[in-house]
Amino acid sequence: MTILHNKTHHLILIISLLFMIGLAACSDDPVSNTEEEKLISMLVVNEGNFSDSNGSITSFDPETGQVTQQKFEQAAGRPMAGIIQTAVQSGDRIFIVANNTNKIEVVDAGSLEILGTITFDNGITPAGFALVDETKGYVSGLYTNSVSAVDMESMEVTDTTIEVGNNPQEMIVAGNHLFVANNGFGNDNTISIINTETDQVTSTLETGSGPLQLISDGLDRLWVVSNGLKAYDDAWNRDPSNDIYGRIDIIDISTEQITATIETGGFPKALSVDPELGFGWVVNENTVQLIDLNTFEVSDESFIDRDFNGVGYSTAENRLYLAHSRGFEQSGQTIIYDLEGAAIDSFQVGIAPKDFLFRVELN
Amino acid sequence: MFFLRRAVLAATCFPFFFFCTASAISFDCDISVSQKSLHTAIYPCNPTDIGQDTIPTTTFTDTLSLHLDEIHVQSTRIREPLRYQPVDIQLIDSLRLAIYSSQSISEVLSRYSSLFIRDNGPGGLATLSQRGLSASQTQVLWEGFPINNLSLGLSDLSTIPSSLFHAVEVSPGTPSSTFGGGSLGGTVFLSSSQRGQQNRLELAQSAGAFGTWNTSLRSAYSSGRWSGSLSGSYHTADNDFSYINRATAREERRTHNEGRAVNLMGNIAHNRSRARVYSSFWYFDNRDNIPGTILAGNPEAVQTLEGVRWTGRVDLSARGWHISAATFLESDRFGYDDPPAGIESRFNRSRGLAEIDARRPSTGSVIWQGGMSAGLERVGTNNYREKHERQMLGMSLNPEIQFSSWKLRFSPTLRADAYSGFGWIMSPSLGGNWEILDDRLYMKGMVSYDFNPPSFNDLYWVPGGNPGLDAERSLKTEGGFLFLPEWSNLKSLHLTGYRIWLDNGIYWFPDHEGTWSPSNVEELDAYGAEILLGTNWQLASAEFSWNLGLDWRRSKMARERFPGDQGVGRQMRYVPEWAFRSDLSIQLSRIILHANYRWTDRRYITSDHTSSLDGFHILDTTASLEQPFLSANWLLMVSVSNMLNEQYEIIQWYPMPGRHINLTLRMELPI
Repeated sequence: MTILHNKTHHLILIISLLFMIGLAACSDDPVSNTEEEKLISMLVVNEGNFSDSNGSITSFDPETGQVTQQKFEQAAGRPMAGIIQTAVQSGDRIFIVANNTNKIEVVDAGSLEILGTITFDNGITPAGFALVDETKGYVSGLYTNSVSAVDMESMEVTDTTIEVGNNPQEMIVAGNHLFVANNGFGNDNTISIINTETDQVTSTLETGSGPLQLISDGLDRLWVVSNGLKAYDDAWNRDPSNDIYGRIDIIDISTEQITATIETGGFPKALSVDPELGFGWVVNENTVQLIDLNTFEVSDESFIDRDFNGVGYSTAENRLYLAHSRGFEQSGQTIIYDLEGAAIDSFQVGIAPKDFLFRVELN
Repeated sequence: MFFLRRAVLAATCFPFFFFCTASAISFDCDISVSQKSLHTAIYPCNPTDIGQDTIPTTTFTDTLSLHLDEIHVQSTRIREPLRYQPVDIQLIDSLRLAIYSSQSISEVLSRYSSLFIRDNGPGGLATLSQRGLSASQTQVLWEGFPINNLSLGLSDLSTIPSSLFHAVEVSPGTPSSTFGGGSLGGTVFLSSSQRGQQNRLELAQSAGAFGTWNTSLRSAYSSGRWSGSLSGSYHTADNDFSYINRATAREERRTHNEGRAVNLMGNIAHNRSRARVYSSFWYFDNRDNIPGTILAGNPEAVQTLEGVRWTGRVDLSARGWHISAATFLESDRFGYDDPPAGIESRFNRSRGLAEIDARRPSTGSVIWQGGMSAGLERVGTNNYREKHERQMLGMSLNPEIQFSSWKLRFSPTLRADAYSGFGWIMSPSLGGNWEILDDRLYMKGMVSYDFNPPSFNDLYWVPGGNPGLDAERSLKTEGGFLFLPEWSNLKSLHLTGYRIWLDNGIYWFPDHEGTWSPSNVEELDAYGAEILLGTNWQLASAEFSWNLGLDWRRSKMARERFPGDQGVGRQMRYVPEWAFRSDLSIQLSRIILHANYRWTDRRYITSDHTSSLDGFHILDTTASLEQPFLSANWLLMVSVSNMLNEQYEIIQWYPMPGRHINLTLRMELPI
């Protein structure tokens, strides 16, 4: 892996990025936008404070700039009530995974009206969800080290339980396989691959420590962000000498093999990619790093110097949305950046924002 | 630190020596221990009954028996009647405590004081907030010694039964110079010692909604120079009340909320003409299932707390000096187990404190007094890397100065404390009282520079504890008027304003590595006003007593705790800006009716005020009938709590019960 070491290379990356934007706009390539994408709404997923269980969804209308807090509560007529682990958009539905209350709220992606609630009274602390089809989904149990199948027609968890690695969190379905990130709070470093037809683990891949996020780029590649491990000794003193830095692994979905690894250094916690531009952005400690998706090179210069919790890239606007937390007692903030790393707007969101969901339509 | 440890050891042993040798000392003057037994009264001593240094009697006969001595204000250590105190003191007497004798002290304080009780519901944690400050910033004292738990620095008032105490004083203005660190928000003084009690045996049985049972025993006996008392209670509750779950909009029932508490307290005193030796112990054993929030499914957590407290005191007079020496020992074991979460937490905490005070009464304008104190605190837990201990040594000089012709009283105090963790701390204070109109109008005030040492958890919790923490500091001011008219039905009017500037406040926040850690970054500005009005009147054969209290409190962050802190200038979380309470008692012969209403303003649950809990109105009523029968005095009491059936939460996701009833039958037997 080649790492760029100086400002010149960083500049080249930026110029390349801008060039690619222009190229994408007039390209006839099938993966590019033959129709213009329009962002119609954006949702911010706010984790909330653990003791208050006040996770929330903030909506943002990019056309009017209107921000609506507590969007779920407005639509449902009751509070979200829970710590939001993740929210997964699939078609016209969003699956909001919350613990403390141990439930998944299934809502309409546009209105956020409740379509159903999947509850877990069987000791499962849901951490991730993946939808296979209209009849089947999977939920990962944070402390059960297993994945359970969910009957999507009855919206009830089934008896089908598949043992995976430690503390599984995010999951993603690709073809007839389910990829499970076994986070282990930094003490696991595997991805379990499950055949969704047989509910059997077919293989296990080794990644960086603490796989946290899975992203499919639409090019038959799966990007795995591993957070790494912050080490403590037996007496709970910080032991940086035994830290394991995080990294990004790229899995070829067809072969189910890791094809490349990006050593980001530090402890990356969120990634967003635009395969058309060929760039990705990684939130890594107090910086946002820029990654070339084709060469797998990461800039060692910070793209943005600031501490964020999450990142989302709006392909329709070519803008980056970054989640800034102000602790767990007060609202966070979303800051919008252009592709040169300049902040162009910001707005208040809920407590501890961590993720973004974009709804686009094609004109 | 070696010197400090030796000094602490010596001081701790001193009262034992004193106890053993007291009778051998020759005396040349007498301690005035006036005894006054009030055989009848209708809630005679309440927060507004401060007109005299003794409790005013009423004309009623054979009502709830009250056996009170002269009121000795203990929460300020200024030996003056309430009206001459420099700070406002809310006194809750034994009759009010008796109304809620089957409940915890938190239930009493929420009804009769300006304290805001952060109550997690029946069976759950209840902590106090005084004048916008946190629970760890107010000292809860038993017989003058702090009982805030060492690890958290606060008291769970839900574990303290009200039936053990004879009186409670709430004194927000008491400075650190009085009892040492921890009183940024003043003190709550629990008193179990009682002089001049009639010999009696009292048994009470209560039964209430949600499977609540409470059995209590109170007895007092004196013979010659000896007197003693024994109190105990056994409390069990299912606490399985129903509530509306806001998260699901469904009616649900609280589960895994059972609790059991055993408390036993004994006092013994030996009174001589010039000396008094007093000792008291308190055993407690609590076991509670912890349901957590109503959002948690299948809770399994269990909390246990068992321990003993002991205090011994010797008061004597010799050669023109009054000397008091006391020792306090405490040891408890706390456990918290939550199997699904993998939590198994154990604490062994112990504390030994000793103090000696000397006072030289004088007919002149200055009464000299001062004292020394020493302490040793120790906490061992699986949540720290190792067992930790802390030694303290304190010295104070607190003369009382009177200018009789000007009717002015001053109480300057200078106290110096040495802590093994962070060295010396000075805490000066100056209080004053001016009798503007004879026996009618008083102006009072206090200014103090206080401190609050960090708790053991703040210092040593793993991970995150910060051994480098300094003490919290505050500049506290209080001023007000006390009006005691003799005309009309108005009995007393208190007007008090205050302001507290807190600096170096300890605040837990995730550090750059995501680990929650405390640091001295909080700067708080708290101010407000308290109005307390007491009235009583008679209509036909009915006697009315009505007290009103209105509190306005602002408590806001004065400085950013971290870049972009949105809490600056805003009311702190869980601090209601307004609170109102009304307390009406009516006596009709042997029947006493009692109604307590209180309204609490909204509480913000986020520091940037994006979310809050609604205010709530609570009305509690009690009717009691007292009747002699078979040489015993019987009392039947019916209480209906939350008469308005308000659905509310004081702390988010911890619902409070709706309307519910409690029955108490009490027998009092003279012995």
